[in-house]
Amino acid sequence: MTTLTVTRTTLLKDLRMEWRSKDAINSMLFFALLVVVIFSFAFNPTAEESRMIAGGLIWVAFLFAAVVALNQTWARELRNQVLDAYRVSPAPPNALFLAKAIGNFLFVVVLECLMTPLFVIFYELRSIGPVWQLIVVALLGTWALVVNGTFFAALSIRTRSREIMLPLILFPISIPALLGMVDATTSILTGEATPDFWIKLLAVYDIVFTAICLMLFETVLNAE
Amino acid sequence: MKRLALITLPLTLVLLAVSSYLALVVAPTEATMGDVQRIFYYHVPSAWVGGFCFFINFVASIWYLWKRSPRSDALAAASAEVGVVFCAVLLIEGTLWARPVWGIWWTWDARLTTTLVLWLIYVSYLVLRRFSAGQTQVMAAALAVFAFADVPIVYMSIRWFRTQHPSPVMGGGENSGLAPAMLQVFLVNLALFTVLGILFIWLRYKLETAEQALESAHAQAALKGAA
Amino acid sequence: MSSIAFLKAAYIVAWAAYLAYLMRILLRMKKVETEMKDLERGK
Repeated sequence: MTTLTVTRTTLLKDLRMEWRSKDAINSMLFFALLVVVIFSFAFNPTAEESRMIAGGLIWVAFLFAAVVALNQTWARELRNQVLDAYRVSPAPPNALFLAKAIGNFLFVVVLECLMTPLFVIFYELRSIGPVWQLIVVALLGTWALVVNGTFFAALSIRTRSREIMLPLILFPISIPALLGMVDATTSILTGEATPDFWIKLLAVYDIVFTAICLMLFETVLNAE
Repeated sequence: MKRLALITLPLTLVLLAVSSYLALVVAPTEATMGDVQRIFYYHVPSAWVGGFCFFINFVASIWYLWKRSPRSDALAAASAEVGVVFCAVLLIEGTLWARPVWGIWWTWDARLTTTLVLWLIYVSYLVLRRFSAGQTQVMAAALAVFAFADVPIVYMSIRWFRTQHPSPVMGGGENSGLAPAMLQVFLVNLALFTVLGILFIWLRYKLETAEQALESAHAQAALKGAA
Repeated sequence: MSSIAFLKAAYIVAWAAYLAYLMRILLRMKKVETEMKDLERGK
């Protein structure tokens, strides 16, 4: 079995299960909605102000919501000893990791597509800079959160109180990515600065951490 | 081993007291900042030892992933904890220096923020170690690799904001460099802090291996009881 | 001269932190040693 087929099969399986249950996407959506409403109450910004703070709000909401989905990544596989079966099978471990990471990436991207209109409504957002750059930032930033999140979720399934553990180890490492996303989004929305540096930084972050995840995942999966 | 610790530990502490006296009284007063500058003699060596500890942690973790030796894992655990202690002292001293000199406790400057993020990352490393249920060593070593790779990215990302921290005093541009009397005191402090750091790592490493031995002895005893 | 207070505070904090950490290590070491002895005697 090649990496590609295993990745595709696992990914399609996860997507099909998610399509039937809609567990991850529903809980993420509701969570993000709550964050949007609460922040809107708390700040009640004007259009001008919201341009300044929206970058932070959006990404904090997505980060917290993503953790909800990331925490469920391996739970299903653990319950039915799928991971043990995977260990003894000849399938490449990285294929499993990639499938999980791409699956989470798609979930979070769907969440972002559904939530963005809400942000626009609640915060009267209108971008001054080019919108296509926002899409680039969103894609790079989401991958940055999700690739490490998927890996750390695999670490935290071996800890006590695993649901608490994931954000505790994911957030500190993600600070530069989060900073990049927030600052790039703010500079595009206000049109005051160019986000070029941040897009490059996010790209570097993605490459470095994807490489480390792929190097170490086999070790972590087989740790017994 | 124990005797060595009994000799070196008090000796280092006494020498540190002497070097503190040098830093507080003998070293000349800095022209613009006044006496507060004397924090420098503790601040910079703490930073150096903290960075050194995190580097040891990275090397030991890589070594563990490669050779799976429990001793390198103990070294990684020890150096991360000592690094966090030095880093915490560094942050506190930094704020105590910033208040009289800059007029603020804290600013989101590249070096300060990088240090804070570094501290947060290694605290999360210690939390993972504490909370893990089985396979602690592999999990911790993997996280250590992530942590170390993150440091340059954190620094780059935060440098994009304006930097307020004084640039490195030595090896900088034309006007950099310490007065010779200051430099001597600084080097003495640097050497002693390094010895202190190594001593801490060593003691903490001994503790870690002793705890590992105790754990396996408990397991052995339980097995014998069961049989 | 309130800046002297900051200087003093910085030195005191450093010493307090390092000595406290040292004590913690030594105390834990002592505990492990006694537990080890108890275990050996208990057999």
